[in-house]
Amino acid sequence: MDEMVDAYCRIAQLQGVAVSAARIGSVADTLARLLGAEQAATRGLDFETEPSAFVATLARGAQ
Amino acid sequence: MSDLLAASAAELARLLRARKVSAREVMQATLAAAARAHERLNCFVRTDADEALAAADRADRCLARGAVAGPLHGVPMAHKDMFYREGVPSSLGSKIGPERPAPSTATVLKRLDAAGAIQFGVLHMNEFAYGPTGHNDHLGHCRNAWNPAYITGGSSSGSGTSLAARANFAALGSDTGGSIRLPAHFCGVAGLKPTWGRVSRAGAMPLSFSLDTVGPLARTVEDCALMLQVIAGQDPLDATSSPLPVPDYLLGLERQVRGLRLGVPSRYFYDAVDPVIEKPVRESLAVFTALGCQIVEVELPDIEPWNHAASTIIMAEAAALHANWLRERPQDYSEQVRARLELGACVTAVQYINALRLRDRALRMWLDAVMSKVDAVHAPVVSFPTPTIAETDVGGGARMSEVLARMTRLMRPANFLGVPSLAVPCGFQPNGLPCAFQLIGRPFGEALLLRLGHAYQRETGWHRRLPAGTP
Repeated sequence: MDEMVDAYCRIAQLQGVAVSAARIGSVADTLARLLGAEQAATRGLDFETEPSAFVATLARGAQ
Repeated sequence: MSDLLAASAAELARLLRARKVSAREVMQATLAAAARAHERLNCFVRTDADEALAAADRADRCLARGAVAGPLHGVPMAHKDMFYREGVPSSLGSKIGPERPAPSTATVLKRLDAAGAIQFGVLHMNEFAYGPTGHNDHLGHCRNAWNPAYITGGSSSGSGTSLAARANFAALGSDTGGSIRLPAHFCGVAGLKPTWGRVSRAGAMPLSFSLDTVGPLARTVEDCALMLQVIAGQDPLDATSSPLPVPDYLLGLERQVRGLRLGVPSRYFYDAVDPVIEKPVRESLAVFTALGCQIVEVELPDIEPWNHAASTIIMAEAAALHANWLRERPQDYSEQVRARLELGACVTAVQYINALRLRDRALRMWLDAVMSKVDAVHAPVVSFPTPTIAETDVGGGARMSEVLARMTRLMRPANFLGVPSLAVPCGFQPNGLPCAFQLIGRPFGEALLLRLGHAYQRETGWHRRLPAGTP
């Protein structure tokens, strides 16, 4: 976990953002949780799926 | 005059057109009510009395010669302080916003102006619309008209509570993760989050452009329909606005609801819902049954991952929009907003893009598994009793994620799917605070939601109740 915390700290630093030491642990926890859920949910996505498909489905869904 | 302040925007518009009341006297009464409400609730950022009274006089002169600008002629309104007027700074609920004169006027304001509405002020909001409670360290916290110790919900906090206090006739809000529907629920007013792309976002402060929607909060569902009629439709200034035609929402309101199928989710929306919320929400179903609707239990797909993906999208897009300020002047953000933006700065590109890729499949599942069986889904807005301002004053600390996630849990699915959702008051909790249900529809299905909500309000009087002390 310490490696994750360091990695997130470094990602933020590279963007000029200084995450406070008090918060970086919870940043790592939250992102790990979101990443886990998302990886599980997107496992079955078609290789070809693009974000723009959503807009077309939204318009079709009006019918 | 207090009767006048209790009227809906639609009723007031009719009185003004019939010249039973003048725009000036309505505006004077509204400004006085706004001053009283603000003292108690901290709901206005600014009122513009001189300009508003001058506009009211112009509206009266037009009416005197038989000229009506539109369906909102002379109706006073104040909006969340994030809709730009060219050259005028919008606070955006922040320390940074007041330094920036707006580059152009928001399309929604131009459309309301053209319809005859008179903007008399701007309203409290969470900092950069990035919060669901109504707390604001820069402006001071906004207070609930039903009990000032309690939250208003956010981020359209001033919109909700100014309407409940009868100090405003209709308001614009924005909804990225519940920011229209939460204040509607907590303050006992109606609020419509439209389909993504139904209403132009041009000239509205962005938070997360893939999820942001602009919509009305109002005293009645009819007023929401009136507002949506004016603001909806394609806009060349917003490439994401939809070219689909705008139906006649007002005409549609009077159509029957008999035979419509309302879906009650068997999971997710009722998981761990507190009885003080579940009771009024489920009781509202009896009204729909009496109106001839069919109540159908529906099995929802697994929504939890959509909620997580919506969080990822908001965090990443908000962090990108705020990157310069976050780098150059982080001290000008409140602790909570800064903490959330820092979180977003750590989302990877792959994570963000995959969250966006998931939307299409999620929407297809929603349409196939849910909307093929029902006309609308009926559900609570939140699962817990309204908390006090003190109970939810968590800043950027350890409890922040938990409190925010709980607050928006039943909101985010509609944002992720891009579909419309209407919050309608349906009773009160034992603490005297209001409660609402939400109706979630198919894309661009606002007309049907408004029809259902209006039919419900014709049979019930919750929306006509006033907080104690309201003139």
